[in-house]
Amino acid sequence: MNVEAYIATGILEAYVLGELTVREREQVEQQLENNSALRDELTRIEKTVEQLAFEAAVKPKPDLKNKILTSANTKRISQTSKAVTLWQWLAAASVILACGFAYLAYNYYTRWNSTSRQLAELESRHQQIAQNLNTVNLELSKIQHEVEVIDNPAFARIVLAGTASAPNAQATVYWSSASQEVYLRIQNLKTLTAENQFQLWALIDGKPVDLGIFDTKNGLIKMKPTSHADAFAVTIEARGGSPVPSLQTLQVMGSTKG
Amino acid sequence: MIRQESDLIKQLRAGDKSAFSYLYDHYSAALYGIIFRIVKREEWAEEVLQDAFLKIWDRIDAYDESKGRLFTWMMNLTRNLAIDKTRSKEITRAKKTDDLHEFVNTIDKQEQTEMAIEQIGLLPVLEALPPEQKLIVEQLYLNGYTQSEVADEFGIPLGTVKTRLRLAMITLRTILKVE
Repeated sequence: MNVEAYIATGILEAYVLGELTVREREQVEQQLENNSALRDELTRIEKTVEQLAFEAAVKPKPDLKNKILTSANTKRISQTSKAVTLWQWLAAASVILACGFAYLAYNYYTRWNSTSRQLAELESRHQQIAQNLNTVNLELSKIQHEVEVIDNPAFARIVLAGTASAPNAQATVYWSSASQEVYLRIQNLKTLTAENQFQLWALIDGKPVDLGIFDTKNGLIKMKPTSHADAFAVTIEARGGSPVPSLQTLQVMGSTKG
Repeated sequence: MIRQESDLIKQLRAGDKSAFSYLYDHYSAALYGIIFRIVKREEWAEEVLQDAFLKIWDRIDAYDESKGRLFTWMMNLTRNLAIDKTRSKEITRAKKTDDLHEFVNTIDKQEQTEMAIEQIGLLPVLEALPPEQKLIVEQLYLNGYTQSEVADEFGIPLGTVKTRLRLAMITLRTILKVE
């Protein structure tokens, strides 16, 4: 390489000014390594530039030095050790936090799932119970009403005993002559086919009066009212009832006269 | 107390504050001159000088002696900071031009600055150079222009800029008694 020609291009001045590309810089640095004449020339250029800067120097205000030295002191310490460890701490902390949150999120998700399942179960059970309670309440008010009837001294209790055609049959009539209300309670009556129904009769002055038809069921059955009755009797009639009782199907009978 | 540059660097790397104090005493005015000519305002120049010294202090490990002198490294670092400051301040100022008060303020400060520059301005050593070389040295070393910026600004071919700089450096070398 022709050192003189290389220097004459002014590349070293550009190098000193920091005006070269990274690649150009690397090339110059490579040349400098192998060539002491080039290194000497570089040093001369640098010293000239440096000297020039000293010639053009401007003194800053005196109090600036103290300010700069003070901030340099603290800055150096924090930069070397603390900044790195702080960074590491932050990284470690964020990883731990992330793991923690992931675990919590999973945990809460699972719990939430099972909780909502349980809630659905409880809700349907609650609905069931509410329905049951409703049924029980209806039943209870019905029973309360029955008890009122049975307990009421205004109601006479007439036991209807089985007849020759149905010796084991039994029923009870609760009758208030004042309010004319009639209730029937079945203790034991035979099971009927779908075509037949029971019919209650009141015997007034030897004549049967229809008090209504009924099917086998529990509790008090409200029948048609009557102000007079010498006796009550139940017969089996075709479904829908009959204007006159069929005496051969007489099931139970009881007198009001004790 | 005169220190060898290599010792100074070693002490700086060891975090020796007295070395940093020496570095400041020795180089702050030279660097401040460079900064002041670029940013042209005392307040900004002080900010840049502080940034520069703190950066030198923090990055001393990044300096490589085999690639040049300490001052060259410091000078380039400082000049880049000064140029960055000018650019950021110009952008900020451009956004504020409709503020009348700010505008008046700016003019006041510019006048002050121009006076200050005149006081600093003339460098007797450069008087020995032919005007065309003097211009290039001033723009490159004192005002922070790049070679291509000078070429564009003054309409001089880039090759001519380089040649004139080279010639100027040879002349200055003698005047400044560089061995």
